[in-house]
Amino acid sequence: MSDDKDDDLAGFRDFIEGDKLLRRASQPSKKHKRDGFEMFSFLELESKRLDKQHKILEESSYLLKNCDPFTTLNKELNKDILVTNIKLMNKLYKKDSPMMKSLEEVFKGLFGA
Amino acid sequence: MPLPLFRVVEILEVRRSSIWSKLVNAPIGKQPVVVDVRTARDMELEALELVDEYLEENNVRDFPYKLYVLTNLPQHPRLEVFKSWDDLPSFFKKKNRPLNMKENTLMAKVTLKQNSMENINFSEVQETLASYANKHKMLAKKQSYLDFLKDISEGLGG
Repeated sequence: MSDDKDDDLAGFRDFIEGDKLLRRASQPSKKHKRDGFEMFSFLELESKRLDKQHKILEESSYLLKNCDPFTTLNKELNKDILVTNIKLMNKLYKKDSPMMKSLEEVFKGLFGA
Repeated sequence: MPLPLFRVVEILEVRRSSIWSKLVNAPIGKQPVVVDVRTARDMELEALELVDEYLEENNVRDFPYKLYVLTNLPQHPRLEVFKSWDDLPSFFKKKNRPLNMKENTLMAKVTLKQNSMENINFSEVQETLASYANKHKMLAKKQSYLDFLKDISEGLGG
């Protein structure tokens, strides 16, 4: 039976095999497909990257220039430092503070009671 | 506009005129450019200085695409140096080939964005960012001083 089939295909075999080869050649290779996708996604990412850069450089820099919280924060910090310093000084100059006790000991050692 | 892929400029001769003529023709800022000075061997530092001088004197803007330098030297105060091709950002390492329709449309969009970047006053932006950074560094210093005072105060109790 299989011999009969082979006989029927005689003369056509080259054509069929050639067609197969042709089909294989015309199909883009997997590598080429992957390259295509790679390039497309690269360009998409590049477009997004440029968008982000643009946003930082134009919008954010405008905001930083015109709405900089520095002055308010600086004022608050200066005030906090001043208040904390005053509190610290008050604590340090109390009669029973560790610093006063230490100083008392030093003076006692140096000049006597 | 060309595809934003690495363009390599090899420095074979460490002479001001030769380096400058190569850099004049390089698409700095329009494409990520890699200046390879490794071939200069003992003269790498001189080559780097000449590249830096070119950028400084001609006020070259390496933006939105940076200029990278391949060198065996460990660092440079102003240039971004890399030891080998493998150390460079892989993002721009793609094989160049003709684009298809879809990619061309996307590339046109990218080109439009690249052009709009050129309209940004970069020196003004740099100034704003630098001033913002300096001010906030100062705030950070003050805050750490305040934390230090608070620590002492808490240590004293009461």
